[in-house]
Amino acid sequence: MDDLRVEQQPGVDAVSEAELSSRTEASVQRRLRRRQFVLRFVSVVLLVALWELVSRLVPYKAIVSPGETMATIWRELVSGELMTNLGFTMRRVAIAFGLAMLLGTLIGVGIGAYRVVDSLLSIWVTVFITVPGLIWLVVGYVAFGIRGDGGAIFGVVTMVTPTVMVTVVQGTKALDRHLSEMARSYGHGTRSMLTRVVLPQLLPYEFAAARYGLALTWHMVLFAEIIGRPNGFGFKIYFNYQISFIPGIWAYGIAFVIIALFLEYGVLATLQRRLFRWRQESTI
Amino acid sequence: MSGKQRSLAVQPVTAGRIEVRGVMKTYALPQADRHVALLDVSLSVRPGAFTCIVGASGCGKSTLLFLLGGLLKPDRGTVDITGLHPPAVLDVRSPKVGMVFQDPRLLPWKTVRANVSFALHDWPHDAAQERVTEVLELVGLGHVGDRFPNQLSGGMQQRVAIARALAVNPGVLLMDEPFSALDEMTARRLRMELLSLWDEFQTTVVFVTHNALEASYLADRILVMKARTIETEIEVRLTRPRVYEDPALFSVYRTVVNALGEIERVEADGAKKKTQPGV
Repeated sequence: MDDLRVEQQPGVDAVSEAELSSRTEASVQRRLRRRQFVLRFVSVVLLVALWELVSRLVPYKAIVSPGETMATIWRELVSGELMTNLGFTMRRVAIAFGLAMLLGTLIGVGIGAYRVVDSLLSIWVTVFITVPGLIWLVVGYVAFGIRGDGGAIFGVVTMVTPTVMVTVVQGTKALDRHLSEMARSYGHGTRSMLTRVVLPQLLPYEFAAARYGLALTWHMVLFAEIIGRPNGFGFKIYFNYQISFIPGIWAYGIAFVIIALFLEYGVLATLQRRLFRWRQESTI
Repeated sequence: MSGKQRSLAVQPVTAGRIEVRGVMKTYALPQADRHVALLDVSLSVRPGAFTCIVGASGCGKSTLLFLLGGLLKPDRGTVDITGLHPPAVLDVRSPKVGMVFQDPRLLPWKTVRANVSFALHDWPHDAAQERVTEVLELVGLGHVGDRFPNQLSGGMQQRVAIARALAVNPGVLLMDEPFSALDEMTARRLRMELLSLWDEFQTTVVFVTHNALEASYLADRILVMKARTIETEIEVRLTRPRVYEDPALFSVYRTVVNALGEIERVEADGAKKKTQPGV
């Protein structure tokens, strides 16, 4: 019905009306977002307060207060320990994440697009997902030795790849054949079709896979470092545990959370929101 | 805005002539045998004519259109489109055929402008931009060029699709039930607009529909498809502009419906969803 009105009075009226509704919509959105931000801030403050409270109430030293945790983080930061180990951890995360995304995408597109590949590989995937991640780490360390990062990266990649893949399979199966047909009717070749029609459709799925995959990679790298690496955040946490330095455990644990949250919400989520502005319904 | 680009943008359309001879088309089925979609179809369309192909679901009319558009290759027989500039046998890459589908098939992540220029990918940038402005004005959507498709109504989206098809200066315009997913009021308006654009572009139109009344309103000639071939040809000698309530138009409609036959009549008039050719 909207259509008719616009058609009967083309030009100024149609524009201004549409513009008006989009403007009010924008202001409502802005107000909602501001309220959400305030609520989130309050929530964080409450969490820290709760943390402080519990650390005072529990007589045992297991819960280290926020203040002492921050002081320890600061000391580790000044001594350079924190940054050095962050570097090791980040390097492992970057390599494992990159490989898992690459493999997951390739296998996922293969399974999603070709029935033969699907029949051949889907049982493998089920097996790989079912095996507990720690077993892959142990297998990795046995196979690659514990002198280099090979074992840790093998274990993490083997863990993360199937989860990336599952999302990419969905994306590939959801590809709109009608759009490819349209592109072909206007003379787009295979390459142009891939970059202009197929890839943009896969991108939202890649992002979803990346966000989940990155979180999983972080956690698995930490495990890998606890089990068998001589450096990195995981190693520091385990080391502090062995020498019974509880504030050290908290310092590295909390520092890890802060960095992970920053990457997740500060970088990936913002990028995602920018890229997919055309999907108005997206709620991230 | 130089003179050279301008001349490219307003290059006159040369209406194409369509010759289809003895075309057969089958599809592979999951089972052993093949499904015959078209059985020995021949037709010729003179340049500038408005031809409607009417038939019930699954009669092969969309397959025929896809063959004309180069999206499918015939198993047997030939499909030639001549009289285009440059004269060429139609193939997949031919830029001179505009196609409009049942659904708008716009890229949701591109703006309206970018969607139209998507068809002009081999044009120089400035000429393409100028052309986009021109055709959007033609379909009355000059003011929504920067919107995304999901911000437009269904009728407006379909008009963007028509603009995209017109952008390539189509010598032949192929339309596959373009208005069947719209409400009747919007469809009527778009049919009227289509006729005036056809008048302006003087292009050859092949329009597939299951709606006998729509065909009677639009066409110079109606081809009725039954049992995978063209069964009947009906010349429509009504003056334009036509009105749906005209008894003469209604008698054309009756002729078409009779040609479709009693059994298929229910299907043709009902809102039964058409099957897509091939997968």
